[in-house]
Amino acid sequence: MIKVDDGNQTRISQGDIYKNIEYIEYAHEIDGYIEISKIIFPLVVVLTQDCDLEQDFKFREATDKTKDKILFSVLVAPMYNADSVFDGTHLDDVYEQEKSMEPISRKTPGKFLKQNERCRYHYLEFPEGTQLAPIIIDFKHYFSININQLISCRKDHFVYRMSELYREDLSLRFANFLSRIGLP
Amino acid sequence: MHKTNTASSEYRPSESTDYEPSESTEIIASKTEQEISAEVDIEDSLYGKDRPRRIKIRRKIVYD
Repeated sequence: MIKVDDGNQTRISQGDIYKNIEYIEYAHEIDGYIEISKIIFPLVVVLTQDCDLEQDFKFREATDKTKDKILFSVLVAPMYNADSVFDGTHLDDVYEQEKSMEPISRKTPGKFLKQNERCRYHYLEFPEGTQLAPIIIDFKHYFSININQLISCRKDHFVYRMSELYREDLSLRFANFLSRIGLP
Repeated sequence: MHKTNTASSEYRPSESTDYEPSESTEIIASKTEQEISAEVDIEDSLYGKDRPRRIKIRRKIVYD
């Protein structure tokens, strides 16, 4: 079980959890119409390094500085309901298909996943009172959000921030996932 | 397995997102906003119990 807090009140931070975040898949102009496809993720967690986010905030606020440290986007990963991931149903509403993902047995594979021994996934249980069900972060589904968009909706969409030790663990495991070497 | 839990109002995605169709907007996904909202009501309201969903919007471009 991890710990969470109310986070940094002034800026986006690594380990922040946000609700109802939109990922724009495409925006096409066709015959005088614009068609936009987006996926709305109920929960995401911020993966971008906190020092980069801090620098972005300082340079964004200052009027006498260059734009050297300003970020274009924030890296996040979706947080899925753990039971849905085990059932393989967590993306059924995206793909409009039942059991659109491979189910994961709750026996040995599920136990490995819960012990964070599968590099693709990060399992989290939250303290009572947070109203957060057990969730699984799927590193394979990371995506970026325009930082201005996230700043503008930060207050309304912020849920919690993972406490320090747990966000360091998350960051390290994500780095390991990205830098893994696929052996034949 | 979803259990009915309407007592808590902690989680209402349809209130906090702004993708309500205007007159010139046509949702072309298979599920309407009303259908999605109804599904949310019968789902457990705990954070993290909702699933991601895809929405497509088609809007006529008005040139000045």
